[in-house]
Amino acid sequence: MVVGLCLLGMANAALAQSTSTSEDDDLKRIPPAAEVAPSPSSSTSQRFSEQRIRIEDAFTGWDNQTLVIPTPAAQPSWQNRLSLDADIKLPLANAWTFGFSDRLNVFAGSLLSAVSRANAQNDLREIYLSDELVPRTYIEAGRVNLKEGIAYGYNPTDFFKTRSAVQLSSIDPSAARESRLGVVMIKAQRLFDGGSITAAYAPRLTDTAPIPTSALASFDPGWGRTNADGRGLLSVSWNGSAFNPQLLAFHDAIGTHWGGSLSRVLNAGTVAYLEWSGVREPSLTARALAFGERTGALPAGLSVIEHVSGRKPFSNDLSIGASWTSAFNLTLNVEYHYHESGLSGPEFSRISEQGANNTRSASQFWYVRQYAADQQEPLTRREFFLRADWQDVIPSTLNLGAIAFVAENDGSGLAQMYAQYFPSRNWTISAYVGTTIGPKTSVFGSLPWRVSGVVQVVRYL
Amino acid sequence: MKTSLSFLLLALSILPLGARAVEAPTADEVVTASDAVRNPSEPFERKLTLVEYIDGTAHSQTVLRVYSKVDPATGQYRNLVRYEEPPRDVAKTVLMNGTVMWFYDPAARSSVRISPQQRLLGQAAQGDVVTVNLAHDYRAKLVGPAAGETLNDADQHARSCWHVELVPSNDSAIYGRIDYWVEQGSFHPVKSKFYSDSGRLLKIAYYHKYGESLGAQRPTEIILIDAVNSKLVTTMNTSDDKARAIPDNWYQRDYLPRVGQ
Repeated sequence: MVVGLCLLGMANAALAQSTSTSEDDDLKRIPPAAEVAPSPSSSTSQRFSEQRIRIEDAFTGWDNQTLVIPTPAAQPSWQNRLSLDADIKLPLANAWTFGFSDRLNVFAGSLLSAVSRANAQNDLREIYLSDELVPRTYIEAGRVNLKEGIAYGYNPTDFFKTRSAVQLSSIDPSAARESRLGVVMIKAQRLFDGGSITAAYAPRLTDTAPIPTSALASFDPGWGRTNADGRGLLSVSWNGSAFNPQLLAFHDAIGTHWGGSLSRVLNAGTVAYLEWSGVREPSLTARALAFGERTGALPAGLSVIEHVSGRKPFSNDLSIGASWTSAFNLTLNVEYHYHESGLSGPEFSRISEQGANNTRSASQFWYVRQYAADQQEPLTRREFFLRADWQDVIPSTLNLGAIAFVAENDGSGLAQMYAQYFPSRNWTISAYVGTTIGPKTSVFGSLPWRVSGVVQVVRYL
Repeated sequence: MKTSLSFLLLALSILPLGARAVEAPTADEVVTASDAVRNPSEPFERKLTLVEYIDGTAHSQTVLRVYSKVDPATGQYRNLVRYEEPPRDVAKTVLMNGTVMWFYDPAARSSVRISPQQRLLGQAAQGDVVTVNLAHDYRAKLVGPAAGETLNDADQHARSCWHVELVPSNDSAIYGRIDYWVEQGSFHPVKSKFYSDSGRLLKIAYYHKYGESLGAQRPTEIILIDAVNSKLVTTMNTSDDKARAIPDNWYQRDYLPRVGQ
C-alpha cells in the first residue's frame, strides 16, 4: 500500500511536468560555430575616439541629350573622383573634443585636362574644438556642420545649408549627402531633461564668393561661401510632447527666418513629420539674378528674364511627409515640398520658353538653376519626393533603394535607383542609376542628361 | 490505525505538489523576476558583440554599446545604442525611449525619427531584445502543466521551466505574442519565441552562458534564431557591463551626436 502510494505520487509528478521535446527542433539551427564565437574585447574608457577613414573611388557617366535650352558650358560625359576621406572625433583632456572632417579629391574627366587646378580639390568640412563647460552645457568653436531638420528630401529649417554643397557638377549621391561644408561659428548648447536650447553665431570672414565653377582653387576652404555674412541661430527643442517640437529663429542678410518642426509616431510602422520656415524675401529669380550681378557672374542691369524685383513678400517653405516601414525591412517615404519663393508653373514655362528662344535668356535660365542648387532649395514652388529604402535584402550584405523628385507643375521627374553591396566589413560597393523624365522644356526633362550612372567603391581603413 | 497511516502517507506523497501549488509564483512574478535576471535595475552601460551566421558560417560582426536606464514613469528601459563596428557604421546611434525613437547618422550629421517597426530592423534592434522589460508591456499567464515543462537549454541540458505566454498590455509592446520559458527556482530565462501581431513567428532566443554581472548571475550570450530567414542565426555576447550614472537628458535627439564623447 505504502509503495503503491509513493509510486502514485511519483507518477503524478511525472505527469505534471512534461518534457517539451518539440522545442528541441530549434536547437538544431544553432550553428556549431556559435560555440566558438570570438570573445569581445574589454574596454574601460568612457569616452571614445571616433574615426571613419576611407578611400573612395566614384566613377560617374552621363548620357547627355540635345538641349532645347542650351547650357553656357559643355557638359561632361564622364568623371572619376578618387578621394581620401577622414572623419575624426578625438577626446582630449578633461571634457575637450577635437573634431576634423576632410576630403581630398583627385578628379579625372572628359572635360579635365591632364594637369589642371581642377584635378585636385580639398573639402575641409569641419575643424573645431568642443568642450562640456558644465554638465550638459556644450560649446563648439571652429568650422562646424550644424544641420537642422527632420525631413528627407528638403529641409526648410536647415538654415546653414546654403552655399555649403560641393560637387555640384556631379549627382554622386554620397558627395551630395556627406560632403557638405561646415560654417565657421561658435555654438552653445544646453540640454535639459525636457529638451534643449541651441545658439550659434557665424561671423562674416570675407567677401562673397561666386558660385563655384570647374576652375576651383584646389585648397580653397570656401570661407567666401560659408562665411560671407554674419548669421545667427536660436533653436529650442522640447521632448515633453509626443510631437517632439522644435522652434527656430535665424537671422541673415535676408532677414529673420522663423521655423519649426513636428513629428509623431502614428502607429507601429508609420511616422508623420512636418517642417516649416518662413521669411520675408524676394523671389528665387530675383535673388539669383541679384547675386549673379553682385558676384560678377552676370552683367549688371542686363537681365532678360522677367521678374518683379524689390518686393519681399513673406514666403513659406514646407516639407510634410510620412515614412512607413513594412515587416520585411522596406521603408517608404512620401513628402510634399512647398517653396513659395520658387518658380510657379507659369513662371517656369515663361523663362524656359525665353531660354529656348534667346541665348542670353538661356544663360540666365541656367544661372537661376545653379543658384537654387547652390542654395540647396527647390527650383519650383511645388514638388513631391518619394523614397524607397530596402535594408538587408540579403542580411548585412545588400541594400536596395530608389528616390524620385516629381515637379507638381508639369509631372516631370528625376529618379535614381541604388544598390549597396557589402562584401566584407571594410568594403562597400555601390551603384546608382539615375534618369530624367519629361519633355525637354519641363523642370527635370530640361536637365542636360537623360541617364546617369555611378559606380562607387569604398575601402574603410 | 492502518487507515490513518494510509491517509498520512497519501498526504505526504501529494504534499510536494500541494506545497508547490501554494508557493508557486504567479506568471507576472515569474516574468518580473526574470526581467531582473536579464538586467539590473540601476542604470548601466554594456557592450554587445553580435556575430551573424548564415548557413552556419560567421558572416559579419557588429559591436554596439548600449546605455540603459529605467524610465520611472513607464518602468521600461530607455536605450541609447551606438555602433562601434563595422567601420561603415561607426557612431551611428539609435535612441529608443518608449515610442520616441531617433536615428542619428554621423556622416550626414542629422537625425531622423523612426517608427517602432524600424527599430526592429538592423542590429540595433537586437540590443533592445536584451533590455526590454517584459513585465511592463505584456500580460503574462502560465501555460502548459501546472508543474512546468522540462526544456533543453542551448547546451542541451534539461531545465525545469515555467512556460509563460505574454500578450501586449499596452501600445508600447512591439510583439504580438511571446512564448517564454523561465527556469524554476533560479528565474533564469531559458528560451523565448517572439511573434508578430499576425501570429507569425519572428525569432527565437536562447539565453546562454550565465555568468556574474553587476551583482547577479545573468546570461552573457543570447542566441537569436531568425524564424523568417531560416539561414540566419545571430549570437549576442555582452561584456563590459558597468553601473554608471546616466542623466535623463541623454535620452533626447540633440544628445545623439555626443554619445560616447
